[in-house]
Amino acid sequence: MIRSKGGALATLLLLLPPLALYVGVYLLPMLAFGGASVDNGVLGQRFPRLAAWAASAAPVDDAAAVALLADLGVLRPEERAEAARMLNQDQPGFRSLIMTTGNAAGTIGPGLAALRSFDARWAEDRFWFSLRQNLEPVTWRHFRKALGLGLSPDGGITRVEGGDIYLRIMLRTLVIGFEVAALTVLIGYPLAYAVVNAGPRLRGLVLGAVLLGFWTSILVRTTAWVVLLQTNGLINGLLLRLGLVDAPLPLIFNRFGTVVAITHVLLPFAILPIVNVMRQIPAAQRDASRSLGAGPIETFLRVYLPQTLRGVAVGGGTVFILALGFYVTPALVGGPGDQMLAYYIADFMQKQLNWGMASALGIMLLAAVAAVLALWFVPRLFAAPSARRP
Amino acid sequence: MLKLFSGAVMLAVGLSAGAQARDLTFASWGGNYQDAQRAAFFKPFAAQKGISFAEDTYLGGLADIKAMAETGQVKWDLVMVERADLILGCDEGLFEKLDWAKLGAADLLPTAIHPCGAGAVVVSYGIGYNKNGAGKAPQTWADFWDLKTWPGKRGLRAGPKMNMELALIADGVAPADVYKVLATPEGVDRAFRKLDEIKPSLQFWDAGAQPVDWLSTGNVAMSSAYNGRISNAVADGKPLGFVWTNNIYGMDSWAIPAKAPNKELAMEFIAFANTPAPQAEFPKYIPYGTSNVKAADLMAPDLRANLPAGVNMDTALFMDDVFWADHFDQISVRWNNWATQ
Amino acid sequence: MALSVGFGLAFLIVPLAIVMPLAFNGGSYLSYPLEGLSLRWFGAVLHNPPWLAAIANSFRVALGATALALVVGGLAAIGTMASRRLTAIVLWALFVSPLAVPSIVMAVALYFAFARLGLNGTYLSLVIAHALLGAPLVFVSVLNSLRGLPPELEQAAASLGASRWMRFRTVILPLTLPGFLTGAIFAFVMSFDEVVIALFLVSPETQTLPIALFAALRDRLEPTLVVVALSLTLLSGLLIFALARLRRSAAPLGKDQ
Repeated sequence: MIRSKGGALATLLLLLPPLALYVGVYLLPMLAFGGASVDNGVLGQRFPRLAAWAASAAPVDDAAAVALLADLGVLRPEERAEAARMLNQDQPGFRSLIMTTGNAAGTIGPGLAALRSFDARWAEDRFWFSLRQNLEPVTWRHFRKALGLGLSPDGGITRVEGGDIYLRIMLRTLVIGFEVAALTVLIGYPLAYAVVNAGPRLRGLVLGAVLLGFWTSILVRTTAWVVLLQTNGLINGLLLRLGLVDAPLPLIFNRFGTVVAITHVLLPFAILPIVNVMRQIPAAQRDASRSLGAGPIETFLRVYLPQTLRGVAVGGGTVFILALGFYVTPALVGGPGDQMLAYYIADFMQKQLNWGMASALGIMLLAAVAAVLALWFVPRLFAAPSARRP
Repeated sequence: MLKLFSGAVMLAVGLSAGAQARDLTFASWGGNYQDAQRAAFFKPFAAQKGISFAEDTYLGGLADIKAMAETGQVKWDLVMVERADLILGCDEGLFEKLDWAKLGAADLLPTAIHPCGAGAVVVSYGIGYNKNGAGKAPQTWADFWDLKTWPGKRGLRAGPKMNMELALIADGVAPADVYKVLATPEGVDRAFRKLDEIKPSLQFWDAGAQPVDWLSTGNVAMSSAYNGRISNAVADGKPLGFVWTNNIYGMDSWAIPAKAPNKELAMEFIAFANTPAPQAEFPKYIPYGTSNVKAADLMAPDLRANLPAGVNMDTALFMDDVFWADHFDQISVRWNNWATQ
Repeated sequence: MALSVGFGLAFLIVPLAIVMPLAFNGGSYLSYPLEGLSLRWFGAVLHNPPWLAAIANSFRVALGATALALVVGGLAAIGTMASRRLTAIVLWALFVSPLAVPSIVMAVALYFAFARLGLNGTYLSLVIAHALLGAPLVFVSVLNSLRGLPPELEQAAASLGASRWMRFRTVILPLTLPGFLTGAIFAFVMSFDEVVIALFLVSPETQTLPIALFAALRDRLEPTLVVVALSLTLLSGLLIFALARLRRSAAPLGKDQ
């Protein structure tokens, strides 16, 4: 395209519709989604009197009790219930405490003693501590929970016993992604080689198989693996008939089934970049190497393989990134120990009605993807021209 | 350029313009369950009123219903909810309040009547097993834990609900004491210790049809399951059985999402669904219990024998949804932690 | 080498080859051995309105999304091509980035956004969401064919006095048409196969085929679902064939494809 005077304006006009769509239904929604991880609007607005108490360093006293009852008294029942549910995410049992106290707010005498005689749980520090921490319009409690951290009474950050569950799930997600990436590269490399270097028949067969897989619904491919791998499925039937095993092997609803199924789904994404790189290698090079006395294996290892590593890196990296976000496949063929971060995001979103946690975990997942892009792809992108060694 | 652009936009908009006024829409749990409701309730009601209706599937939780309430885009008029969600949602104003004076409450089970919901389906959660599997039929939850006599995988519903209860029962706690024990930290520890014993053999299901598939294909030796799913599979000729001893039962309720556009019609539907005649039809399609005590009189005796009713319920435990409303967050964090280790 | 190629081929093909015959299973299980051959499940699909409605919805959404993706991705590619190098890099990163965002994150973000706009459960929400995933595919493929154009072509047209629009319509568009078409096919199939975002955005009226499949998978493993799958694969096969033909006819233009 030629650039000319006045072209800048025209270019801008051309870019306007796509930019509008990207900003409107991509960037802004992503920002809003991210905001949900720290948004504490509900708790931040509904307890103005108690928030004033919480902001001061005052101890749990009569004034706190009065402020709490006054705030609860003016809330509509459904507002109270929503706030109660959110506080319950922080402290178990808080929901019923807020609900019963709120329903009786007008009848409880002023002062802390009256409140505690109404419900003895108000003598527990944890509830007051939780109120003190959670009445700001912005909260970090979802990120703390995602990272397995808590607050100590003196305001410091502490590690929560057994709270590192989401970090462990993140690690599991990375491990599965890595296993899948490695497998796709291992299985995909020879296929890519065949696509580029084999005769037209084999090339057509491999290309057809790759593309067929590429275009077949993920759900169908996952179902196929269920049929193959289930306890009385075809593979177990075959193994039993051959006498290789005495009892069916557990091949599905575990890590093995999950990794195999995801590998199958993502294999084309590893093959295509490798093919692209292999295509650029002139056949004459190999002949030159051979004529200089190198054997076929040496030629492959020292001349061919190094030149294809860029394709391997791009293919493997792409698969890794795509695998990190998997949700449907593990849900259908994985066990409870194989669910990846996306499963928990959906769970918090749909079942537990905790959008803050869904958002915090989503940001964690995005951060992982961004890190891979920054550390793996960007250096290769800039190194690309010089990567072609003779 | 402009022509091309506007043409494509028109195409996109034209293809995306949907129907505006929508039919009465039911959301329920899919599978045989929804098939039975369609046959016993949706179709007769629609025929009676001369209307058409639409359906959706729902997998529990309040997220969809809350989003509908907040945006006013209410895509369902009736939804079949579990009691815990009914209680939470009603408190938060996510469901319409029912006018029980118009709904024929007289012959209903007392537990069926809730300010926002009409209990409709009594469902038992018990042991499903494959009769072609190992030796004799299992009898109790303790047998569920007996991996020697009945080797093979075990299926449980994902999440702590009902599983905590049955772990305690398997550990010898009397059904009447289960929630007392579970309300203490020691009780929760005890349930998890019991679950630890069979953890390597467990796999978890989300949808009620999954245990039936797993049992019929031999993926698991036993699985917790809803009684109706098993009975229907038996009717289809699958060699499955169901253990009633110490089953845990709950009641699913019809509720109307707040600001549902067909609210009035939905109320009429609930009044219809509370009457004995359609309720007596329902178990013919899927053997779940119903809320109107008069419905049982209209059912064949051999049908009643397969329902969560009568002797089948002598040792049963009614799931305490108020307990779960308070403790779910805490126990589910622990559950996730446990399940993923 | 031959062994590993064989293994890879088997790994790719066998699962699909194994599952497809189950469409003809006489019994109601989704497992082997087959209980006789029958076409009953094909009849079951054809006479089941929800499946047909889901197929119609999928076409409707995929066509709308493809149309929108073509405009958005195409304009983005042309605009990026005409930008300065640094701007072009930034634009490239922006326009391609939806591909890297995990679909669950995109799904939840769009669910919030469309809920706020009151668009959840409408065709429009699905069309826009899928167009957002299709646009990068169109963008990349159009950009590739634009890069393959010799710049002299347009200069020649310009020197003959053709206006910007004229040059686009008579020179660039015809020459990059294969790029647009390839992108369109990618965008169409992407939308047609998309599960996670649709899971969050559909309503009963707008349920797409993958969602119906997903529900069926969790609900009861019946051969109906393989019937639908088989039909989809045949459709994909036709699209691959079309794509291959396009590639061939586009070959003289594509420089390094």
